[in-house]
Amino acid sequence: MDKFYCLVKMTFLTKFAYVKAFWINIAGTFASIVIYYFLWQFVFRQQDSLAGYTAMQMTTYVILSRMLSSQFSGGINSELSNWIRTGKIGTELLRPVSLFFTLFAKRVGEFVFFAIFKGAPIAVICFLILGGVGPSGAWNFAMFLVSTCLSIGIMFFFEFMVGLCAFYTNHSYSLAYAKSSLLSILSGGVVPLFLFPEGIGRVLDYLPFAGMVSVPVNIYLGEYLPNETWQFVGLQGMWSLLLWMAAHIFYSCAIRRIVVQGG
Amino acid sequence: MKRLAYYLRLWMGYQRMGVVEMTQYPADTVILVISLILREAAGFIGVLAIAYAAGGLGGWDVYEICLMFSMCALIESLSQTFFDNVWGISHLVHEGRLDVLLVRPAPLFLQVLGDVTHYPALISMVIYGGVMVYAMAHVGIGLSAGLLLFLAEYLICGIVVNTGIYTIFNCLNFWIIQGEDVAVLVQTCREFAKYPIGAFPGVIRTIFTYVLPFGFVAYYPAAYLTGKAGNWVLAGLPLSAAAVFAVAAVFWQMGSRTYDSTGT
Repeated sequence: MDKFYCLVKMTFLTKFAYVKAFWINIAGTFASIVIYYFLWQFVFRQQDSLAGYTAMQMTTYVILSRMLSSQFSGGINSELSNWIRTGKIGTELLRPVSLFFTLFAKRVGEFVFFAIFKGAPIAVICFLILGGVGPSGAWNFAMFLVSTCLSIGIMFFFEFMVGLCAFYTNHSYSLAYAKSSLLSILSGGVVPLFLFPEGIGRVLDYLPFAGMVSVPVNIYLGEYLPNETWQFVGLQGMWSLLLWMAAHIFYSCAIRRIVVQGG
Repeated sequence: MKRLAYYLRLWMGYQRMGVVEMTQYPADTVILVISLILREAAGFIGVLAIAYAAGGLGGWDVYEICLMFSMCALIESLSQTFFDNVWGISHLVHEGRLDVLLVRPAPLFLQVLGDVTHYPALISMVIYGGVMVYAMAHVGIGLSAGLLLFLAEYLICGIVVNTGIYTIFNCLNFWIIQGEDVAVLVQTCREFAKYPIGAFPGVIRTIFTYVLPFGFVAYYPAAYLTGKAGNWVLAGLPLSAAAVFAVAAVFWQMGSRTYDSTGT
């Protein structure tokens, strides 16, 4: 646990070293919230509700979903692929803690940093400026937090696998771009999943990606019944487990391709 | 005239380098193309879904929004193919690599642009072109000489506006360290211009028409094509392009004159 704490702290310090990048990132998130806020305002000028969402609820959805999906642009995949490309992975493999452990601790550090310095402040400020509704109950809010924390697992294993692709390709940065846009589309970060055509929306609901944005936000808004909430949260747990296995299998295949140039 | 032919030959040489680079790593090219398309797709799917749900967005129907988005993406991919290295100005300045370019007998800006080309972006352009034609067919815009002329005017002016604004802000690197941060901020703000600007409050509309005329990259031309904006767009395009070009040229001239290497 000591090691874990140290790695988390290290990530924090790294993040603090790049304050300017952080502000730019915040500005980007803020701009995307404002854009979608105005687009939705336009929609609700003509109608009072859309598939059970009121204007206020939609504002809430926009704020929370854009905030949560702004995480996708970070993640450990670019660090991992850099290690692979530069050969630094050799050093990392020699360490007495496993690669999974190191990277997971870093990812948790990144998430905690995100939650404290970006997620919470942005959400509060946007709620004050743009309005929105509170959680539909204390239980909902608690489950929202649980679900958001559970999504780190899914995100981590997914990012890990994307990072491993660097064993096969050189262009890790375009993969990182593809990852973040794909995740924000599939997770409901751009638009709520129910706006997709009927069948597609339902399938996306049950894919692991929904667990990162759509599920927590819908829990917050009270769109799910209590037993549905449990089902979705359970599903998230199952997906984490499945992705955990997939990541390990991929890892043991990919690691054989390792090439570390001396020096 | 001879000089111009020489520049053209030089530019072609740079382009050949770009093509060779692309074919060297085919897998990476494929990934890059996919990622470029996905990057645009996220915003596109977002606005399309909203337009579907509401049956239009501020007087724009779904196909008109398709048209606008594909026009915006066309400019974006052309800029990425040929003009992406204005984003490299920061590296060139801070690492002192501009020295090498300065001693060569060719215009500096041409060399900067030629240094980096992303030909895969040109492939993604074909797809956006397809979307544009599809949208035009649905909106009911027929092929005519006038349309082709307008598209030519639009592509030239749009690229000048787009690249010009990025050049202006990336030139800040000549005076301040990490000037590209400002440029990234501007690029972030540009996101607004990918959507029907009419949906936003007046302040934002004014900014994207007069201050940072990103509105001319897609919104106004698409509005003209669909009959939402009058003939003034025909004049507005070259005017805004000329203004941006002039400011960018001044910034580049002054900037490259103040450049005094890093001494490495």
